[in-house]
Amino acid sequence: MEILLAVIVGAAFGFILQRIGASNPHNIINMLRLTDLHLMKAILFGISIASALLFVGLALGAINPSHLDVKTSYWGVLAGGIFMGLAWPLTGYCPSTGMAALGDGRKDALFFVLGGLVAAYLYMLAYGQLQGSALLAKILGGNVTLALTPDSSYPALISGIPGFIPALVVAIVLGVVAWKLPGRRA
Amino acid sequence: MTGQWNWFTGGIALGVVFLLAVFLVKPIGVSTQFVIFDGIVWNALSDNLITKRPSAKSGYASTNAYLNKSGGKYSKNVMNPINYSFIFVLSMVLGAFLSAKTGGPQPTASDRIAPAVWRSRFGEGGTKRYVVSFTGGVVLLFGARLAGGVHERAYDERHHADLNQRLSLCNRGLPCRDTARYPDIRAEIGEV
Repeated sequence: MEILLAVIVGAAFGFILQRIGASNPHNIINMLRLTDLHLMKAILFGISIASALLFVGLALGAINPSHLDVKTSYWGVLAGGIFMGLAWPLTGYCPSTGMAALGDGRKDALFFVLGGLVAAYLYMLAYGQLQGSALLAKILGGNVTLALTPDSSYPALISGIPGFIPALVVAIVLGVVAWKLPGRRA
Repeated sequence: MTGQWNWFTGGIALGVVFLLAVFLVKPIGVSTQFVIFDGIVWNALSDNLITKRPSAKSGYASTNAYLNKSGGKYSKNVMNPINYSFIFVLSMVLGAFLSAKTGGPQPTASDRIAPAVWRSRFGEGGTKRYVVSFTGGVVLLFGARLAGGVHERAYDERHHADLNQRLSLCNRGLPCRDTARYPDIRAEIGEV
């Protein structure tokens, strides 16, 4: 059953990435050069809708909180983010859109994915050395959230307000930004 | 480009598919599956990379520290490639293919080698683009793994609670699943 869901939801995600133009590195590169913001509008709007509905769903008990894990904050997140930020505009691909671009028949995406497989191997070899280093040292205690979530094993930085309030604020801000950003120049 | 959804339709579609994934199973994650793919290849070429280990949370252990982390959960996925996350990522390729074939934006033959914005600056040739795509892929995925999580605290706490319960059953002489592996469990919860 889970495998059937993987096929359906995975194919839907790939379909949507292709259909919004995210599998085309031309659109990603121009988004990051700030010359064509239509993808940025779509992405911010998507995050806005998903975060609002997710936290309302959690608050109402409609979504099982055990489906979610709070990721650990550590210095490697910042360092890794810098690497990703350097290579994303260079290639026009991220892991998801690179996979979708394979379905588009893009040869440069094949080279991107091959490079990614080499990197994953290098990281597997390096991980033993990285363990215990400052790069993997936790920030703010590691698995913290901004506000309280239904899973009380995660401490919140701001106690006393339910998690869906900051989530709704984030959703509204991103929704407004998505709305106001200029679209594609004709 | 023709066939492309506008930002409003696209944003709703993205939001709905993220939410659907979380509601049904768990959030979408792609870069971990690059590790799983490598693990499958590596394990096929190696005699002892991954072994069964009943006392590990996943039932598997690895000589590689990364595949062994969090109770060997990556090792388990390598040994069972037909799992949700791996099939999800493979299905993305299929979904994008279906979109392109059913009226989605169509790349030209030149677009399939390098995007227009690249060609206008660096020309039509593919080699330079392929080298940059490959190198960028290395940098980006290394960064993604570095940022991708080290230690799932909640996971480990649940795991230790489970082990402690089993251990206390064994200690009281009650039926427990792991009597034979008793020293192993003790080592794992740090009681040795």
